[in-house]
Amino acid sequence: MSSPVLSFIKTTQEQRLFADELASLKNALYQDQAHFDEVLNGLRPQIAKALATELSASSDSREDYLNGLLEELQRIQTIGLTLAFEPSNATINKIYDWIASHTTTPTLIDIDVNPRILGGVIIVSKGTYSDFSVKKMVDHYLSEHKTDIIQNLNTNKRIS
Amino acid sequence: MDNTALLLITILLISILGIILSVVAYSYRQLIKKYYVLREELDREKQAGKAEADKIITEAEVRAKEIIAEGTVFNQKLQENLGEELKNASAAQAENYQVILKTAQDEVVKIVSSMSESVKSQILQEFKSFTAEATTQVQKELQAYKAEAGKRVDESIFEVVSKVTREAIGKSLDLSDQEELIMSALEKAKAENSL
Repeated sequence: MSSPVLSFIKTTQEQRLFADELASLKNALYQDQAHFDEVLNGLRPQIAKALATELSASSDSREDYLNGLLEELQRIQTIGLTLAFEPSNATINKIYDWIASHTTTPTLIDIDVNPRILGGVIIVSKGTYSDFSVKKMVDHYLSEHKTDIIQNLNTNKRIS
Repeated sequence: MDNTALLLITILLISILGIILSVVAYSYRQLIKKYYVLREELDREKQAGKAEADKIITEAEVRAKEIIAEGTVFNQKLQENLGEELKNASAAQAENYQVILKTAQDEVVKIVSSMSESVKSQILQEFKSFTAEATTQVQKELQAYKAEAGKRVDESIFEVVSKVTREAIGKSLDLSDQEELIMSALEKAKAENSL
């Protein structure tokens, strides 16, 4: 059963950030309660609230809970997406929501930006590489129609 | 005991060596004697040979002078005879010689002329053939070069067109187009069971 707090983690970048936050919380466990609360409240509000709720509801010790959460965070499968532009949070949410609603297991998206692909996306998932980039489509078209294009260019050249 | 035996053996060996050396010295002396005898004989023969050679050379010189003298006489006789013969040549014979010479000349001219035409024709033919072959080869190479150059130009133009096309398409896509393409790609990946 996936922890509800993990639903706030959508990208591998957020995964790394949240792993660091959990490590800070674990270190705070060895100090006083006030310091632990201070670190917890320093997290992003939504995550802080969800963590506080789960910590109080959990039957495990705080350390066990945090260790379990960290392990679960590391186990989440990822889908690699290469985009042609730097996506806004809205775009990331849109993509994430679509993936979450179409996959059965929790999934993080690992976004890479490469303007050379022009548009579309390259997806790396379950060990497969799927190139849905605009560059591939354009290159395919150009390759398929190379002879025609050159012929047209030569015709136009002669006319002009 | 051993030293005495060794001394005796040494004395014996030295004695043998002395005898051998004496024999060698005697043989050498005999050899030297023979050498001098042979050398004297050789000198004598050389002297005798030289005298013989001088005699032969002297005789040869005398004979040569005689031959030269005879030759001069014969040459004079021959010239005299030839002059006589030329004087005796008749006008008719001279005419015959002229006719034969003229005929021969005509024949030669004819043959030379014919040969020259033939050679000329052959050379011309070969030259024409060579020219045609060379022209064809040059044309072929020119065509191949033009085709290759044209191909390279086409490739360059195609690369430029491809680059411009990519850039134009990339720039023409706005955010909504990009998102639509991404969602469409995700749908396809889902359909292909790649997610």
